[in-house]
Amino acid sequence: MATSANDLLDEAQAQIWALAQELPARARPRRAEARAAFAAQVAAWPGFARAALRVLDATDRSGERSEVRQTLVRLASSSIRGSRDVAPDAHLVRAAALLGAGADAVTAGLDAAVATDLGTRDRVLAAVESAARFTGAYAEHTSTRGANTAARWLALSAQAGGLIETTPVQRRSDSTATPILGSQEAPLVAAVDRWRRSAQAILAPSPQPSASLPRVATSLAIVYAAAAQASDVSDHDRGSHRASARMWAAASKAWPPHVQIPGRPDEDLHHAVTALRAGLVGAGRSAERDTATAAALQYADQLGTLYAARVVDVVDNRLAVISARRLVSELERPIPTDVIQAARSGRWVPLPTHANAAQAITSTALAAVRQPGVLSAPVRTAQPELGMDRYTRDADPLTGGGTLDPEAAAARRASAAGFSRSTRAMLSSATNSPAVDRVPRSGPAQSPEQNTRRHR
Amino acid sequence: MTIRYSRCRVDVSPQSAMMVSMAIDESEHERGRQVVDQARAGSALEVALGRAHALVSRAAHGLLPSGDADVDVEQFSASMQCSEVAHLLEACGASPDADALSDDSPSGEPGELLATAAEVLDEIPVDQRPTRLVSARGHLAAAILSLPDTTIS
Repeated sequence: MATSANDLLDEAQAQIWALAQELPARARPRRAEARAAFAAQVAAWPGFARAALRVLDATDRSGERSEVRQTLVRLASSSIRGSRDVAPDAHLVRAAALLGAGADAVTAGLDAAVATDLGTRDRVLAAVESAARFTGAYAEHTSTRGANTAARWLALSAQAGGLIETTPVQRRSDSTATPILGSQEAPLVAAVDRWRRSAQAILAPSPQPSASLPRVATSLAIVYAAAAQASDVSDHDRGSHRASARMWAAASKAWPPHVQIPGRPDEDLHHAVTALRAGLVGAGRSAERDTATAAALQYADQLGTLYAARVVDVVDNRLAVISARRLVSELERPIPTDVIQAARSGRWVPLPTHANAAQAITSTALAAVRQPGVLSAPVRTAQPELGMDRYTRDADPLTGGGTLDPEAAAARRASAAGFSRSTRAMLSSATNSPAVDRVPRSGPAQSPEQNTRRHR
Repeated sequence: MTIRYSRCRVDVSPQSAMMVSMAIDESEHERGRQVVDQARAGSALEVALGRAHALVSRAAHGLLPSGDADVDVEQFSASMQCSEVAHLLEACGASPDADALSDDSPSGEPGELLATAAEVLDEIPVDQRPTRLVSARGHLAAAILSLPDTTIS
């Protein structure tokens, strides 16, 4: 992951080098391929030029009247003819995104007393130089008339190259090496522990649910998906974990962007899930990752049950909100006046328990808990050599230890967590029944005012 | 790439309106004008952050597997990265915007939505950029990098 302005600018340059591709030897296919590559690059140039200008503006105001700047300004503001129907080149789009982030990183890291940062400026000019050179090279091959077009791009390349005053070695400064993203260096087992604690905290019953509740389902999906890839699992367990990952992914997907939970997102869970994801996903496998995955797996079923119970409570008590505009599209006529007014002014309204999204959110959560792989899989004991004894079930007051009986375990956890009798009963039956077609609905409705504290 | 500002309004929040009213009552016309300018700038910032938040949230949702498809760990991780960016944008002051989050336009692959979000954020003037936007923008770039080419173009 890019962590500093240097990293971002390096990666932007790497993306530009990736523009180069070998063209076919025969004239006609070569022209067709070059034409496609040229069009895609041209479509991406406005965004790339805007991003490059942002870094140049942050590093060197003195060159505002240079030809390169003026050309970039023209490109940035242009709607290039023919580019609308062409998908922009992915590498150049990525390079633009990286330069844009680099501009922020440079601005944040630059000492206010330093008027210019020639090294950074030259790195952007080098990126412009090489990108324009590639675009020009493809233009040359597009047709017999491509030479004129190519000449303009090659001129931009030459102008950018002509302004560069530093060597590649001189283009690195301390200010641009400052990390802008937090590192995930903590041991993975610690990340698992933090995830377990922060998830348990937001899953506890409270009048105001956490806006981060859906992220628990997401984190459960990645834990099971990582477990399915672990090196030391049987084929049976692998299949079971894969199925669980699917179910929890569905539970996560059941929360569309237009349905939210008002309130502040949980910072602790955010950091914990970020560290968990970064640790569980990545190239190669390691013993630490397998051990941490096993540890996370031990808590997954417990957290899953708590999640389902919490979700049922939240939906039943109408603590989630939905965009009024979206709700209008699925309501039967006549639509309540207050909903119409809310839709007109772009507001949130409490999510009705009978809305499609509400049904999906609860049914997928309950289905994931009911999923055989979640509750009936044998409990694995953590590896003691990494101090994992802290993660055994017996140490946890919410579980009884040993292999879980699905129904009893679900009811016990829900009871211990303080959920209502009806939720406990529903959860217990959900873990035992073949399907959940109807979800009992009860609980007092919250007023829209209570549910729109954070949402406009 | 076209950036739509369908909800770009100059409406001010009730708090800002009250500030404006107080300023006018005190016959401080110049100060009143400054407050209006600040409110407008704040409103534009809110709109940009809200729009970027919606685009990133939609990309996160779009990267989740559909139906009975197996979970692709890399793609699922990319979705989580997008959620992390959305969280960071909220930390910068973005409020979930009911209309923008309901809006299906621009339609497109998650990578296109993220690239558009990056452009929307880049449009925010330097003097209005929240400090924490640096981190959000860095994570957004990382999320874009993690996507396969097919989700960008």
